Amino acid sequence: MALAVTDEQLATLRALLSGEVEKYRGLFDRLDRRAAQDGYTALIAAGFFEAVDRKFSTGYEYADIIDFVGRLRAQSDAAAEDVDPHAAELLIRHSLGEDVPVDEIDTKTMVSAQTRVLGRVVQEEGMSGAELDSFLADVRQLADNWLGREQEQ
Amino acid sequence: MLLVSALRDAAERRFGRTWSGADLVSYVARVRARDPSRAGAIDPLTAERVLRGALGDGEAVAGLSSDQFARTFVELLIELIIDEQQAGTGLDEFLDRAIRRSERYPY
Repeated sequence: MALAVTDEQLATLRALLSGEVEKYRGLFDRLDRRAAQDGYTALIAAGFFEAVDRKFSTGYEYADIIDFVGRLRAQSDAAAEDVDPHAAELLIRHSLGEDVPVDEIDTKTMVSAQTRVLGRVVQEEGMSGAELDSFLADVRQLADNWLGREQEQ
Repeated sequence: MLLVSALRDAAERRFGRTWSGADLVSYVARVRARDPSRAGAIDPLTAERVLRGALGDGEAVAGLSSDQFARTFVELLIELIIDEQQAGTGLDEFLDRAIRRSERYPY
């Protein structure tokens, strides 16, 4: 069976990005763990990639990334705790095509940073429900492409 | 002792007595973004911990190597002095205050 993002995984991410915390927790707890390891992780990574592209691809300087990660971490003690600023900056720069070392960032740190960056971009963009759905449709397609390519290898 | 006094004094003036973690995060980010060529010289997590330590949270600097602490300490002190100079405080006045503080508070 082809690897692909499931509707449940997409709904979970949508709840998170909409700020529906209790709904998100309930959905996340019900996710199939094995499937989520591939599908949900790919969805987060694709969302991060799309969000960073949306935020920075029209032009940026390193200072803009530092400033963004600072704003992200300053929004709450939990965000400051969850996000390793050095890792977040490297992941953003890597996503934008810079040759920076990301191989030593462990998975937990990476997923935390990716999730929080994605959430912050969605928040700063002020997406409506329809805009979020459209964004997530693109994200899902990208994640499915990655999963399909991974399966072929 | 004088340098420690100077950092504590400058940090207290910069952040007041009712500072939050968010204040420190924002400040360190602002400092690093101000000169991105030097951003790599300031590890943000270490800088936040050193500032917490300067503001009275002694536990915050536990576990930092003396090298990490010293490098970050110097960078932060420089930035806080720059901030004070931009606000009109001369370096002599800054040092006078630090000297008086170090004489007032034995460690």
